[in-house]
Amino acid sequence: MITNRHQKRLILWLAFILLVTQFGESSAGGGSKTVSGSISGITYFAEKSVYTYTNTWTASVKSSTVTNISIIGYTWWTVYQICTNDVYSYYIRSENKNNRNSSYYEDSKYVYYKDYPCPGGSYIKKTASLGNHQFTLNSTHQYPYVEYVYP
Amino acid sequence: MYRKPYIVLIALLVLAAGFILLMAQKPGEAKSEAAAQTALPTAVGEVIQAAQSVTPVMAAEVEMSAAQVREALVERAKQHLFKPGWVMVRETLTNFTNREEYVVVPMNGQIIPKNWVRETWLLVNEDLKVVAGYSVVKSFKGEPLLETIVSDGSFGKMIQPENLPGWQEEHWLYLDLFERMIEYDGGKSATFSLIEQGAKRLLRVFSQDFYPSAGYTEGVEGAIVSSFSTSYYDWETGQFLLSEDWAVLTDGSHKQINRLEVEVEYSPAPPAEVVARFTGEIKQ
Repeated sequence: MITNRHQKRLILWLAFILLVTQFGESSAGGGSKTVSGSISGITYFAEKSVYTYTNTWTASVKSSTVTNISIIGYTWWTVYQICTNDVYSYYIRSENKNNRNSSYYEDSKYVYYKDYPCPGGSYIKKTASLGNHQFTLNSTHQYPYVEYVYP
Repeated sequence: MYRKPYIVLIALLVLAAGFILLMAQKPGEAKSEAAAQTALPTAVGEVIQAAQSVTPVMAAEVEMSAAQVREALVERAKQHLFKPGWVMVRETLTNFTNREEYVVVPMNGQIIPKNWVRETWLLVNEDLKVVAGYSVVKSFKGEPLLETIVSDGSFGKMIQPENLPGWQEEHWLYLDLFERMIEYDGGKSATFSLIEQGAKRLLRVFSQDFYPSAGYTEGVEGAIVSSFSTSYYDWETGQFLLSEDWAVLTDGSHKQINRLEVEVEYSPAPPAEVVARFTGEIKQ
């Protein structure tokens, strides 16, 4: 018999966690790499990621700070897929994407495996997300390079 | 006063129990159509309609796990797909997005086309092993963009025989699809069913990727929240026939990304220009 409000809340939380863990059984492969630093005393985070699914894989770039800065984004970002025979089966490069007077910038690419097969006899060796982020506060700049390669 | 939390608690526990039972289903057990539709709302029916060349007369759930379906396809292909002699595999990828026709890789000038045809000639010996192969990727205009070749020396010169494992029959079954769906969630979110098309029985493989946040792909307006794919195999021979990838956008609409068709032909001999490649003039 439930007698007090704390016990009821605990049980509700347990049920919620149970549900979430059941929903969350699918798990994408891949991961991310984050580099942190500071610009004029403001902490920044620069992140690249690659995650794989059944039909697609995704790459992302994220730049964030704790408060708004003048320019936040990246100066260049490359996403590629390379095969075991060193042929690039997917390649894209973007440059100078950013937000002004903001604390966050994010971009992503969703790649469909069947669009970009490896040549005969080879298979996917690596998928990657790499490039220089941009953090500008007034006339001070930081361009940290972050690269995440999977696997 | 305390009635509402009890109702919420009971509802949550019932839901949790239902999911535990669903997830604990053993490989080989049937997933009910209702359960599959709950997991994959609306997508299946629309994909069937979109695949113009496939007109299902009857659909039946396949009571096998992803790993079991994979093995069944391999076994059927071993018995029926390849025959001794020359086999030609033609893969045609049509992309429906608005992105550029091709991308040039700046480091080496390599061209990655948006739409492509890949023709591969394979020489199969009496043990049903591929002993030589030549593959060319072409644009839809017929321009050759990328060639690869391999031989153990039993036809023409010996050319990178160490690569022959990647040219064997299983490679043409697109089994990497099954490997990824097993890695993703043990194949639980995929559904398999048999449909009839004329005298043929086709295996329909449906799988869906759910993303934690919306993202973008080139040539598609709007953010993508999930992607789904339907592939069809000849259930008698194991041959991969066609597949379509679709994106689900934030407003719930669907956008077709691509369509891949695969044909297998049994040819007496490849054209003279292909045979000439095995004499060593080809540039890798």
